[in-house]
Amino acid sequence: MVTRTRVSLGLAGLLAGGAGACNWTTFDDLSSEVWVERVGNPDDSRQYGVALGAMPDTAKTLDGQGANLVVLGRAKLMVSTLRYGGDGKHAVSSVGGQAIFPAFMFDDLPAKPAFAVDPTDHRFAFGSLTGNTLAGQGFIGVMDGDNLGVAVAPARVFIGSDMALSMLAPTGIAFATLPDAGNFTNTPELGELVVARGSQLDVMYDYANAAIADASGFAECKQATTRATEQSFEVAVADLEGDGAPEIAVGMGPRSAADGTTSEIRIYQVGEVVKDQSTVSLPMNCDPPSTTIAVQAIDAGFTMVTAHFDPAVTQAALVYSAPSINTVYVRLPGATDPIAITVPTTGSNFGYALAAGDLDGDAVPELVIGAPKSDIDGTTDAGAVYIYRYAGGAFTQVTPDPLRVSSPSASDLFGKSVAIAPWGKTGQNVLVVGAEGKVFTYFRLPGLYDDDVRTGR
Amino acid sequence: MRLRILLLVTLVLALGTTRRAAAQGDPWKNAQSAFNQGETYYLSGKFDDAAASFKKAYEARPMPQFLYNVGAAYHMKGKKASEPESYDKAVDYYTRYLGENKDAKDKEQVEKVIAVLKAEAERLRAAAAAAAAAATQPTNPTGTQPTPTPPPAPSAEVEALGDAGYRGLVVIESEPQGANIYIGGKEKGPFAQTPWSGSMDGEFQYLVEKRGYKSKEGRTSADPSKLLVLQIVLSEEDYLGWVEIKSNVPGASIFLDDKNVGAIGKTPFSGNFKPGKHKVWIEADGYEPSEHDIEVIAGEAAEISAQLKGAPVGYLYVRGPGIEASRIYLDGELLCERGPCRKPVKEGRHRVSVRRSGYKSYSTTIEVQAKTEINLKTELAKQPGRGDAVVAYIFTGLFAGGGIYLGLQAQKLEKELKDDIAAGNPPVDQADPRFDRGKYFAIGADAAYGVAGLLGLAAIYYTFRDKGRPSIGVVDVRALALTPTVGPNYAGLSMELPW
Repeated sequence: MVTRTRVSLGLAGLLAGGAGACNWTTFDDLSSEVWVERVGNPDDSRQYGVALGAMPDTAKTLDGQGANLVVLGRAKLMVSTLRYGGDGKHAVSSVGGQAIFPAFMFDDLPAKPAFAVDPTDHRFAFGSLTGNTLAGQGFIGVMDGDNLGVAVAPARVFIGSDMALSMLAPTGIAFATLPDAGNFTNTPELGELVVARGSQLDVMYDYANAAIADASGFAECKQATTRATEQSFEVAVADLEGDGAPEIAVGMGPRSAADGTTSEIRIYQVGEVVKDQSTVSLPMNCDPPSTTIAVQAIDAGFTMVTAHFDPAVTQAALVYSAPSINTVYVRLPGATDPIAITVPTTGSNFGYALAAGDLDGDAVPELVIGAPKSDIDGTTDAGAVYIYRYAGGAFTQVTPDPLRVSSPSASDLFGKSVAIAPWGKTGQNVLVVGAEGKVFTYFRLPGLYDDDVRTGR
Repeated sequence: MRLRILLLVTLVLALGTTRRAAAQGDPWKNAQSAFNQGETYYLSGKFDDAAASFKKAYEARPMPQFLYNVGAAYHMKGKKASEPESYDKAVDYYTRYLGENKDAKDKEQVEKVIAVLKAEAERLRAAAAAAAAAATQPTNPTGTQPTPTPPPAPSAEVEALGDAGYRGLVVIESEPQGANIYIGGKEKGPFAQTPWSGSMDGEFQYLVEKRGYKSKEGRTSADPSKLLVLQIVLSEEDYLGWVEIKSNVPGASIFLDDKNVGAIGKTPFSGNFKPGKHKVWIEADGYEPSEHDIEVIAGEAAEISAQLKGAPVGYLYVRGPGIEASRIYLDGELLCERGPCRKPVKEGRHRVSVRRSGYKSYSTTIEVQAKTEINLKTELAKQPGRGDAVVAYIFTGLFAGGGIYLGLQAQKLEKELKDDIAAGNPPVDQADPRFDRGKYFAIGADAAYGVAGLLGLAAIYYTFRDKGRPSIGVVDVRALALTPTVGPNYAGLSMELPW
């Protein structure tokens, strides 16, 4: 408990015993005892926290002992970093997209922007549309995670003669290291970026190479579609087949219910996507994916992550969600059928956000699933976050009740984004949950990490 | 009480221990009978018969009043018939009355009557002689007898005296005689000794007391035109003791056994006391009280002779409008249940307070000196209303109530948060709105208590502050002058108070 100077009036003190007075500093003391910090709404970012990403702390942050978080806000492509020191004190820095890329007049971020973090190189990428001056072209920005506002590479604008194709906003981004394919050669230190937008898949070899001009140097292919409104959701890159090479997974589903109630998870070999250099306006067709998983929902792959639930197995598991049916699927290595994790509450958008990481220190990642439209204690769309532990080929919820806001309000949308951030001081991963206009950081999580990462107690 | 001349004896009373004079040979019975007869004759204008009856009454009991009544009867006879002989008789009996009643209070008046009647008798005789001389003259030529001369009218002096009236009489006798008579209370001192006769008018209380005899007391009424005889037979007292109390200061108040019942009399004093031990206080203004323990033995006499010494005390006299509803305190002790209050006060500095419900109290410090009297005249001011204090108290209550409510709300939130923090699920975040809400409630409660406290202090101030005009008092100091005083039965010091 923090010792504070007690301020009380004499009469209040006299009456306190029987009349119910209490010292207001008590509440400051109590708030210092809690182990969840809520940071909210810096600057003018109305929907601060639509996406969250975390990178290992470095000396470039406050003290190298805390965590380094990237938080996307929605207004005018607001980007923030939320940096913690080892003692839990934080600093928030924000910058608007316009300041980063002054040539573009940005619109607001979409509610579910394409966003990815490269924790190794401390970079993050996000996708959006340019402003009206560029007629709303698809756009990808790659930023230095340690130096807010510094672009790692020039902005990539998907501009071409086919305006319809140009104006497709990215829906999924993944950092990757891909083998050479087609006409493309991998330069390891420059890295690759895989972007899904519309029905297309864009693979940017050596994306950090500033010499690569816009709309050139992309390997782009157009996936086969049978329905007019069928487009991609999230994209993920990992060794999903156990062949030692990365695969590209992408969710595809209709945007209109008139186009059916099924969607697919398509897993491509790199060679099935990367053929030759192409232009945005004249993409080649992708080869059929080597694996297709049909899901009885319109939004399979709305969010996807990969994880190694069995650390001894190099093949990654693919986790993909279908929030419309409150279900998250886990395709474990070697398994014929995915494991379906679901909750009985309909309309909760269970699976809207996903994260996988080891929270309890057993080297086996936990699966964190956001359900931002869960109703809590009669409060509509207050939101909840479910945490599952993997063991024996099954997932079990860590606590009977999901995480929630202790004092919920309607449309809090708690769980609309989730991230697992390594805490520099202890190496402990901490859970970070985004909600409408705010971010919750759990310095302690009973049942997973009982010691407060700030104090070790 | 006025002394009057009695003309008739009408009543003999024997009250309680008085004995009715029933025997035929009782002189009072005969006197009463003759007095009643004389009254009847007198009222019917038969003055010679009335005079004869009053003479019989005198023969039965030689009371000077009866002689006066005889004189009065002849006075009226002489006036009616213009008889010098009757006037002579009237002068004779009036003179005898004065001769037997040396201390007659109407002596001067009676002597004036005598002089007038004597002159009238001489005038009538001179007139009669003149008339007789005229009668010896020769008859008139016609031989007719002269017309008889009517009796002369009373002179203007006689007419100026008016009609003479008979007088009643009050007689108090005891057996044995020589008992003290007290009228209207013993504290006034002895009125006379038996036998006593005189005039009284109206109802009166009497006490007849003689050493060695039981005291007798009663109440009766007297008519100035009747004869009232109180014959009191005192029985010998064999279970009371006779006590005589005197002091060097005459008129000192005597208290027996309990001061609260008031003084039983003033010195010099004598009376029967019940046998046993008694405590007697003798007090006089300006003197230290004298306290005596006596043991009264039945049938024996005891005497207290008090030597009062001048005391180092002064007097405090508190008065003023509404003082009868006020309490007077001296040095915090109740001095008088109500005013006006005059009490001896020891020398020195004292604090006097005058308190009355609904009025502002008045207090002052006085310096009392021996043989002085401090006259404190107070005028208490009405206690003003306390509406402002009531309003302040109400607001104090409202703010205190608000503080309590807010404080309870804050405590409720505090408990809720503590419980939630302890439970850990849902984990409470540091920006939980309940922290701010609880803090606002707590600050609000403290502020409300603070305001309530200030208002409470204001209310207390309003309650006790002195507003409106104050109660006032005027102190006046007067010396109590002790002067040597000598009287027929006493000698000592006395003082005169100027109010």
